[in-house]
Amino acid sequence: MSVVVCKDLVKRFGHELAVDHVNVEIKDGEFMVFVGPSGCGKTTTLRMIGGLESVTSGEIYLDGALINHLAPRQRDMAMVFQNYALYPHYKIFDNIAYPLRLRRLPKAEIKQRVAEVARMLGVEHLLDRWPRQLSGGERQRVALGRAIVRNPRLYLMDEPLSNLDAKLRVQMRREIIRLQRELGTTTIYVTHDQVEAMTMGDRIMVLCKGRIQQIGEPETLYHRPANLFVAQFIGSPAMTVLPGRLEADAGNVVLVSEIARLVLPHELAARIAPDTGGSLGAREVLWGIRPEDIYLDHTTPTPDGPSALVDLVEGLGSDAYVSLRVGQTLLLARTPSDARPNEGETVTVHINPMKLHLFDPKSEISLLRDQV
Amino acid sequence: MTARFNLIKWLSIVFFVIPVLLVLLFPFVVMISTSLKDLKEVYQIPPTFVPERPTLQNFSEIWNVIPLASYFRNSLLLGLGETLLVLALGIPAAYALCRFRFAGRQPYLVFLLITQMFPPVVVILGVFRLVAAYGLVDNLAVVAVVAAAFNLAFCIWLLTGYFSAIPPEIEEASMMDGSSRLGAMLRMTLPLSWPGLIAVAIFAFMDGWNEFIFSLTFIRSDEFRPLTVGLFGFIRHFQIEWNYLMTGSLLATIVVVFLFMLVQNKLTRGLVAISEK
Repeated sequence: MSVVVCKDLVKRFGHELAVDHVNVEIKDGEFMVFVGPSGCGKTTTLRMIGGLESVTSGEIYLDGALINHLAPRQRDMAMVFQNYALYPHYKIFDNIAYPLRLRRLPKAEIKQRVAEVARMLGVEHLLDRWPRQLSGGERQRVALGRAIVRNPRLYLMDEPLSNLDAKLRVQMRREIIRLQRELGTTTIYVTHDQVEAMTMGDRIMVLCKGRIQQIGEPETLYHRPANLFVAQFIGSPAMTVLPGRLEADAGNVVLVSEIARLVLPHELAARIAPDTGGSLGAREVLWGIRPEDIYLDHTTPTPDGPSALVDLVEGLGSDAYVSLRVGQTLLLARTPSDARPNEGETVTVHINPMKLHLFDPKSEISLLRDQV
Repeated sequence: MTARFNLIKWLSIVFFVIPVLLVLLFPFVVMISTSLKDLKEVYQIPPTFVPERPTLQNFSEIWNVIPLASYFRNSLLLGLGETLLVLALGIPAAYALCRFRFAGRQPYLVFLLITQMFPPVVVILGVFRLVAAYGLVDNLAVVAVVAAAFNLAFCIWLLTGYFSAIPPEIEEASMMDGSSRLGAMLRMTLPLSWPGLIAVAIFAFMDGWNEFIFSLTFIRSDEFRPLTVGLFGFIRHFQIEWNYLMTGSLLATIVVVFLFMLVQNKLTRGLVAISEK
């Protein structure tokens, strides 16, 4: 049982506000990911939970107990660092055994537990080596081993995969997910990589400039971003965002923009928050559409969509990303590889109106409510 | 290209390295040569460079002419005392300077530098009056304390450099794993920076071993004199016993050189190990 609650957590470095009133509850056994661009306060928040950084104001509770003033060793959390932070003057066995030795466990038990963890992570053959003799991936495994060997109440992981190459990163990502499911220990994982966040997290907390932008399950963040920042941060390549205007037309709501005039489906129109000010008569908005929600029709030019010039095609094998130019406006679409157009070709663009995202141009908050 | 590079290399060796080496080594050559002569040959005109009647007599006689063993012991105590003091006070100071951000940290670093700008001679009279007022004249420990005080600032700067080379994450990992901050420092930072610690220890030891001005001022009786002041006694009003002076100096130097050789090997190995990490 390990529940972490942060209440109005604030961290200042001098005059700079690094973490700005963060309120979050991390549930027991949950894999929580803190994600955001560099300098957004995600690592600082993690370090405050771990006790490596003092709290300027606010409270941190672990299972209901206030832990603000506890030293790291009194919190019984394990941390995995970006640069692994293995002890260079200890052999691998001693690196993994270190937390157990500090707890004065009997020698035989230490030996048995280290062996068990080493087997779990596939590093049995490395126990007699020095950290400097290991590759990045092996070092990361050892760092994980050192964390799990003592069954802590909480795992804190600070960008543990960002020093690994792309292939290894995907592999280790799976291993960490598998391990966390197996152990069922509450985990907080910090990353700047939204793909890692989406694939690993039970829930994700998106931070920007020290503030929580949105907390939610990956699917929610992707399909129902709370604001423009989350919409553009989650999803790769990013959603296209363009200015437009909502107008009422014969009982329908119509989105008018430079490139298209889209009649919003009733389900979507009903989700537009009525209390966000301004009448629907003519309301300026920012609208966004993800690459996969744009269909290209390049066989028969039809009049029901704008025509676009294919600017650039980036093939990924299975799919292709197509940069389109409609007048002066740039759009990004994703097509199956076998339906990809050629560069310089003119195609007709169909935008799936069900998948439109609408934002207030000033506050950048989503205009769409979750439920009707 | 290579030929030209070789030429430059040879020219620089002939015109730069060798002359500098000659200048540097000359005092040592004179020291060795003089220690092998008797007093008559020392004052012989024209002087000889290579002893005409080389003798090891000085090396056996000097122990009876002056209490050399006691001088050695005192210098050793002075060196070790200063080393211990500098490490005991310098390690925590340097650690705090490199790991904590506190108000007045920057001014403190500048202040440390400024203390280095006073030559000890300037303040020696004041320090002597202080020492005398507490009745601590003729006390070797006092010399060690004062010498350490003057050496400490530089050693703190040195240690700060070594400590900042250790990634703080290693200590943080240790603290997360269950050690206190002190434990993390003792188990991680100190073992990892031991080549630096040894360098500072040697530096402090040498400073104590070579200490002259405070010992000359604060030490009255022969039994507490270190080597430097003891050998200084050979410089008398009417005659300087160069043969004994140089023999004593040579013996004093050999100890330090030997110490260096003992440590140098380990020191370079330690530095290599750190750089490999």
